[in-house]
Amino acid sequence: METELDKIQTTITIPLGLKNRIRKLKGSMTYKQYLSKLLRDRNKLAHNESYIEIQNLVRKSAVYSFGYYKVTFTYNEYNNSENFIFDIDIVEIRNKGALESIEKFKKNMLGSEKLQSYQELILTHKLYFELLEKAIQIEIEPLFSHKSRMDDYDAWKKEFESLGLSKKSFDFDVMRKLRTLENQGDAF
Amino acid sequence: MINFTILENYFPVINKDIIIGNYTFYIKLYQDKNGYFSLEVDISKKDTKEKHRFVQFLLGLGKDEPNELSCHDSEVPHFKIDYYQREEEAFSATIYFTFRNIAEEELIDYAKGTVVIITKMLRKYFENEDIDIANLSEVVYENSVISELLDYEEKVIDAFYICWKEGDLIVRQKGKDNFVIKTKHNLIKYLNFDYLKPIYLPLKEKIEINEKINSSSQIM
Repeated sequence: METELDKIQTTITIPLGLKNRIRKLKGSMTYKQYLSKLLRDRNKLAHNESYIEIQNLVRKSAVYSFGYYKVTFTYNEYNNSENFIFDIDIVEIRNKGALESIEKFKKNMLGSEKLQSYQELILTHKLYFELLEKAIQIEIEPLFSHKSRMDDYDAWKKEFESLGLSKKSFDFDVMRKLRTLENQGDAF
Repeated sequence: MINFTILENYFPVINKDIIIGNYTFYIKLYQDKNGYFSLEVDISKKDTKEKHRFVQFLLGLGKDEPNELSCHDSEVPHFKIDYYQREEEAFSATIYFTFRNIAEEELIDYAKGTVVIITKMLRKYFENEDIDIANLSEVVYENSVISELLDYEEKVIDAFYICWKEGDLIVRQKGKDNFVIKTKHNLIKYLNFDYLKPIYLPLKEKIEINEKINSSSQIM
């Protein structure tokens, strides 16, 4: 139903990257037509009662670089299901081109002094969240960066909400890992 | 407000990982001041032989904060089952029952019934995965659950039946049209896998009993 407000034109400020992606997806539709279509689609799905959702998720690979290190990792290709999760997993770590085990990586990063297990855990969890950030940049928002401490779940929650990522992804990709850290388990 | 946290009595450890071999068990029992709550078991398995293989299984009852991004009314009590498996490709199946017509005061009975389902599912999981059953008491106090809460299980199964009969149990598959499960054949197709037996079998039985009642009343 059209109201008086529907007759008033307005502007929405969004990042240019997002605008470009919408432009690509909308094809020949106007922005107004495309956004209305998205709303209709959403309403069609919304408030369904009970459901079963079955998905085959495509694993994608990416490389994260820092210093002389290259970390190859896999994650699920994004889809707009509310049951989507990234599920980051490390495939290999290379230091100056040579393969390195996660154990050796920890040793190299923390120096030759006696390793403290908690430092090791922080290190692998820090790497995990950097990989998650990278996956979000590739799949959702190229300019995304986590704006707070690694373990600030409230900040992650707000960021996931603003990116339109599901609660399930937040629970699995963020909270689960923070729980592992709290329980002093390994990130990978 | 109903206090769900009394159910903590049936679990040795809540809201903390319990690690048994390659398996991690986590019983989430949480309630906030607004009445939103969650009672679920989360099991994950890391395969040490095949390094990148990972399986997660999650099941439970909850009532979440309203979420505009969600495709359903998350603030309505619901029972959710999630299975996720990562190998070369990843696969996920989610079953979501919405309990729309439950009175607030009845929720505690559903939560008790959920504890029974969680317990039965855990036993099944231990048996299937060959985990020493003696370790089950590290996750749940099975004897207390069965002796004190067993009667509540039927309430939850009844609610599943109502969801199946009166609601729309919609199957969503990427790349395919959604369809509504209305036949027992499709129910078997989508719910009949090993770990779901504690839910699937009593639900199937209820459907069959009601079918018999309906057909005999039609004859009369």
